[in-house]
Amino acid sequence: MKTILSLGIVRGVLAGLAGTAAGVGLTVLGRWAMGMTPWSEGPVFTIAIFVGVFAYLIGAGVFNYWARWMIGQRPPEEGPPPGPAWRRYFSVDTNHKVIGVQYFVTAMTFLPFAVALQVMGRLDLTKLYPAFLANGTYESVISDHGIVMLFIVAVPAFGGLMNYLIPLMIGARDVAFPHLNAFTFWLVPAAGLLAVFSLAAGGFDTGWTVYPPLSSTFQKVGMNLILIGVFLAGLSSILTAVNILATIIKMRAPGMTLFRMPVFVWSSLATTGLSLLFTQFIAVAFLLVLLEKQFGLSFFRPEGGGQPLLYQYLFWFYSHPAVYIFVLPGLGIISDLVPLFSNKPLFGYRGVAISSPGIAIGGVFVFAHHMFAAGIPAAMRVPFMVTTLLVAIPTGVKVFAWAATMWMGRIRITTPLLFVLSAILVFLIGGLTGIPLGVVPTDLYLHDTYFVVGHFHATLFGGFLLPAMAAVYFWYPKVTGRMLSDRLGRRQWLAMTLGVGLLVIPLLGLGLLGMRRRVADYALGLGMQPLHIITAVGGLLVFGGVAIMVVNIVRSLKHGEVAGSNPWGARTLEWQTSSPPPEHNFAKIPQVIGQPDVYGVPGEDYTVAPGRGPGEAA
Amino acid sequence: MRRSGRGHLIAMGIVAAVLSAVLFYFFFRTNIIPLPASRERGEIDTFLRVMFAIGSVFFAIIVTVYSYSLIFFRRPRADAAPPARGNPALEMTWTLVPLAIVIGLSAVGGAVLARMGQAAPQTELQVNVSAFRFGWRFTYPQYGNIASATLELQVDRRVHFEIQSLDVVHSFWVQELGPKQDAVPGMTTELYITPTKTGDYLVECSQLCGYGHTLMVAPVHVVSAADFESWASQQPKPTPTPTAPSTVPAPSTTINLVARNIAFDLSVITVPAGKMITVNFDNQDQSVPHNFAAYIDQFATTPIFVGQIITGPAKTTYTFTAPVQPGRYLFRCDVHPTTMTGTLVVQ
Repeated sequence: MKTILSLGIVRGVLAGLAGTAAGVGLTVLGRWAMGMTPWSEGPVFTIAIFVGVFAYLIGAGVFNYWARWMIGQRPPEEGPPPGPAWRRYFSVDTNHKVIGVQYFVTAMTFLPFAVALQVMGRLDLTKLYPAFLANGTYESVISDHGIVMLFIVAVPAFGGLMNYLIPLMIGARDVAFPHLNAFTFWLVPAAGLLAVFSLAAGGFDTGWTVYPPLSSTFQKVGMNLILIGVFLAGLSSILTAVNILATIIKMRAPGMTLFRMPVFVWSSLATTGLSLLFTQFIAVAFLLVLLEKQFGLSFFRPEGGGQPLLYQYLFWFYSHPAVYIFVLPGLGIISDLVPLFSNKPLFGYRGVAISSPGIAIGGVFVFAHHMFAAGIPAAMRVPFMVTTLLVAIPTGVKVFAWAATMWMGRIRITTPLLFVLSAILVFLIGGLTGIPLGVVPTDLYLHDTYFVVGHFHATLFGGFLLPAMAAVYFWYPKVTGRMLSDRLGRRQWLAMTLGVGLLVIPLLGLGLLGMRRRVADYALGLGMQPLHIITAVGGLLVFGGVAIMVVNIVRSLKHGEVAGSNPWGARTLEWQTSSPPPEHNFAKIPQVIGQPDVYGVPGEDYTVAPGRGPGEAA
Repeated sequence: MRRSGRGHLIAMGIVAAVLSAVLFYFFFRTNIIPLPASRERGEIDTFLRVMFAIGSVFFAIIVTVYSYSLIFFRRPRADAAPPARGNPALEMTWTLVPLAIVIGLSAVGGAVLARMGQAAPQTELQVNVSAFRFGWRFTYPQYGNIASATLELQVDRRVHFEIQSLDVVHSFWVQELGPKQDAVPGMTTELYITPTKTGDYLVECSQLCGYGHTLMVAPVHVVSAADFESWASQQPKPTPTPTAPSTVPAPSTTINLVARNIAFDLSVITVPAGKMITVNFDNQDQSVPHNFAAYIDQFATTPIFVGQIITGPAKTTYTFTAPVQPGRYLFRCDVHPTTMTGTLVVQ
């Protein structure tokens, strides 16, 4: 009992609950003292949740270091704490590898929840039995699916990969700001729990876009939880971006010029640049909705002088670049794995490297393409159509370069490569279906139909989930020292590839048939039901794939084959140290003299002095 | 397997050509989008097919390269020359060709958009659209402001929609007629559509507006010019909006209340204090939900009675106890709180 109580996460959650209760008490007391009605659900819970989150952070011990430093005490020792090794993963720790694992495992914990939500919605829409989700509940379920997937799964999953891999890949001993790093991680579980509890607090039937006045007028407390949760996740995202950017720019190993970085680092640079500059827009937009909803201020309500479209601009300033925040790291993973398993250099490394910032910069100028039908000035639709289509070019550069890399290569089919190939195929579907959505006349038909849903899911399955699965199979041996089971891996790959195909293609078809998105029901007899049934089967297969992954990850911790420091024969620096890497990554910082991607060319070395683990060969 | 690089390229080119031909056929010959019924939908469909055709060529080439490589380039080849690390000419090609296509698509897209907005030679039909949670109301200013819960349009006559929302963001969309346009509170948005086929369709709200979003639909009838004129002449002209009631009807414990065209037939209901009241409620609006609800205050925060919502055409009977305190209270339809309100007088 005492051992459990000493874990940061347990103390944090308990303190959070106590803080929320105290916040409720104080707010009620304050309202009573000021002569207001003491109990009013919305404002009371809003304030209480902020108090609760703060208490949770204090309870978890996030502020211990800074508190000691302020009162002039010596900060506690760095490094692994005494006791069993697993314990440090449940408490505040500043090692980037621990934080990376914490991020990724948190994301993967919420992933089955978010997938299950959508599977519920999908099963409801098959109409094979009476509807079990009421109108309103259905909308809440799919809205929560969107929010959890994007802000609690996608962003933290890649946050975890970047945290773990970037210092190793660039030959650094840790990230630039380790204490800030711990703080940013501990915001994520709080945001995640708020997003989950939102359903219990009445949900929110607004979609993940949370457009006011709907979100600020007709919603229960569940909406407040989401608004605060996403605000916290956004804060975490911004501060992580600061950290990763500083690390990449200032802490590269000697000899590692920008054009000697692995493509994953390039795409992380682009991603974190976008996060740093644009996350503030959604954080502000959500905060304004909260103030409008709960405290009667008026930003978006026309009765109070507000403008509903203002919110949509703010939202899409972030949420279009956000799509690239979700997919760029995935494209980076693909770009690093294709040359390795083709045993051939990446075709046009510089072009691929530059295309990541290219996509990021291009993606900034396209926000209005989400609003072609929203009532923006008609003439402004054409320039935004042009900028939108231009993003296809750097994206195309990547897809062509991967194809040319495999062409005439010497391909080794491994589980990570299988996931990468499925990812490319699905991402290609996502990219090509984006074109009719970017062109105004066709978008006016396809907007807000299942075609958008299909396009977006193809993009995120191809750019986020499947590359993330490739990453799990590829880097698991580095993190744990053991391989994941290949047999389970291939089954998972099969389930997910089939599942994604069956899920995405019917969605696109439904959109063309005219199925509106976010509706809980549809008319029979229009040919839609078979497509809904197929897509539900696809959803179940994806869920099965996720389940296989969880089993594989847990089982292989004990039973996996011992990996050795470089089981794939990769060139990049993270493989030039032991698995798992030592506390500070490298015995000696390596000196970089070549390109990361030049596989299959004799005499082309990447490093001069690889700080190898004991008894390892290249 | 001893094929040279050129041999592989030719073989792969043939596969890619066959695959794109198949996809091309699929998108051009099968009816992937059903039922075009307007000039604008026609434009959209043609353009969509062109894009799918271009897309299928790219898709075919890329998928073929990957599959071909996976099948033929798996064994290590002893004779292999040092692998290519890049090819500036090729890289330039795959940057510039998509650029040209993209510029072409933008130009065509702009032109199609301009064509869709071109004025029609004949007089346009003006329809003002009000969107609200969770229904639609259409008024016809050229026809004495008649109001309707269904959208009646005349075939081959261009319609100018002016769209407003009474509460949250909605979106006006008739799938067969093509483009959609959001209804944004506080502003008026516009949409032009020329229906070309008579028939029955549906206006569907396509921007999530809350729990009733799914049901926010209204029937559309595109009819001939003669049928349209006769429909318009049969519609009752709207009565002026009731102002503050000067005459209060005698109190009664039984009230007959009709909801039709998103309006109640009574603006004042008088009931005796503290008595059990029966409301015979008749919702005559096809597939529009309504209810009867009474509140203490004008902001509807403290309910006296909230009746269950029924979707028309349907009838129901509500019973509730009138407040003991005489005075003026609010009654309304909760689905249409801004348009369907009245005064509940307790004597």
